[in-house]
Amino acid sequence: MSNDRWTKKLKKKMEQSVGRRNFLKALTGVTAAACGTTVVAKAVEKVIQPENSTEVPFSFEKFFQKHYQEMSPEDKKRVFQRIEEDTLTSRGVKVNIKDPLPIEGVKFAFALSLSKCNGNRMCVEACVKENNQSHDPEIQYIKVIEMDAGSFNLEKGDMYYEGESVPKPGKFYLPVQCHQCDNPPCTKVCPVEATWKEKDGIVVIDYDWCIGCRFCMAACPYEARRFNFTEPKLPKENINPNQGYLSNRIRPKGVVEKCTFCLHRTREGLNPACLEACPTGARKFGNILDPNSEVSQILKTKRVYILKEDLGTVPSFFYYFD
Amino acid sequence: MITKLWVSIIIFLLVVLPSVSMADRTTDIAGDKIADKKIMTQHFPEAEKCQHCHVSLHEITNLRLLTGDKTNSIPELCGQCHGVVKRNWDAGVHGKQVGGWKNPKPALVCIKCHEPHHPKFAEMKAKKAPRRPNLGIRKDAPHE
Repeated sequence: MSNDRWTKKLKKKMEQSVGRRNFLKALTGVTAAACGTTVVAKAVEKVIQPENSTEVPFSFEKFFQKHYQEMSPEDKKRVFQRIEEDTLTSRGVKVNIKDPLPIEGVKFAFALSLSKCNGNRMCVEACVKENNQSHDPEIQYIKVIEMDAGSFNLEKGDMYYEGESVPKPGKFYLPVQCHQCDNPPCTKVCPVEATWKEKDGIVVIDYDWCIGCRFCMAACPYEARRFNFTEPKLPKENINPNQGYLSNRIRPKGVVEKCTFCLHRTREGLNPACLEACPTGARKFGNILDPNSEVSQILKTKRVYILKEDLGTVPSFFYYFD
Repeated sequence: MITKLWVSIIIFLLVVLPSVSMADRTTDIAGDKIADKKIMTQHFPEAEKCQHCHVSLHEITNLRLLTGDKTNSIPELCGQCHGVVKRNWDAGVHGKQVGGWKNPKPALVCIKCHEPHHPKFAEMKAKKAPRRPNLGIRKDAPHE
């Protein structure tokens, strides 16, 4: 009796587009019905299928997609087109997916002046906007940690400080984001090689290859990686249509993401969004292989501090003092 | 009577006292009234007179070095005292990067970011804090 009902429902679902979620739901339904526990099935259905889902439906093309590093230019073109179409159907936004490649003879490095940073979090806001991060649950790549001047205890730092007027007396601010390590612990632990280091020093993630095991999050000593526990929620008007496959395209649910030094911008010669937003001039970005670049000048002439240097991660992110 | 007294005291405080503290502001060498905008200098104690840096208030873009020579270069003027900053700025290390890392534009001059009459960066309001993760952790729970 209840079996009939579920078969009908399943048939109806099959006539609609078969998403992975829908399929799972139907499967759960059938199993539950077989067990005669319709109530449980209904409850499960409510939990796993929220309304107004922006999830991209299942497709064989996506399922059998190659690893990014094995894709030929034709493959890439096809995949990017598919992602653009999917975004249009699921979010209703026309986006442009591109894939700027590493530039020969360039290795990116970031330098941040702890003397100048005043903790106003404008970098955080610009980053969220640029990189299409989820607004709810909130995902932010940059953590600005407030600490007492004269101390350096990250455990006692506060990243949730409210700042009516910053800098507060007796405090200093340490923005932490992905350090793009030269010896990255996060890429070593990935069981599916979904994250790797590019030639220009940027550690990237193939969001379509990530299985969401979060080993990399556990391995990262800078807590730079974030996990999409839900489908990222961001208003349609806040979506940045200028997207990179490896950087700021809208992430699916269940994958890890992190700062990529805005590679869709920086590989085209622009500065990262956080740097452009900083009103104090504390952030410097450039090519560390060029001896005349600002970053090289800073490393030569300033007192430079490397966060958790003793771990041997060899970051490309440096703090300095004036 | 008492109210009149109070009013006159308040007027004195509001009008007379500030104008006293803004000495030399409204008269130039010729004695004309020139500064429409009242500028409070909080740069260094001796910088009360406009002529310290400006040749004359009719042509405020002409600058006067401490030696008395004229100059048009703002970094040169500021660099008289802020030598280290000037050196960093010349090397491209001080100041905000503009125009991208590949083809950087010439650095912004001092007064694009620092107001020369009160050069200390104003305190600003920070953007809103990230929400605490909703994991049932008590806010400001003691760390044990």
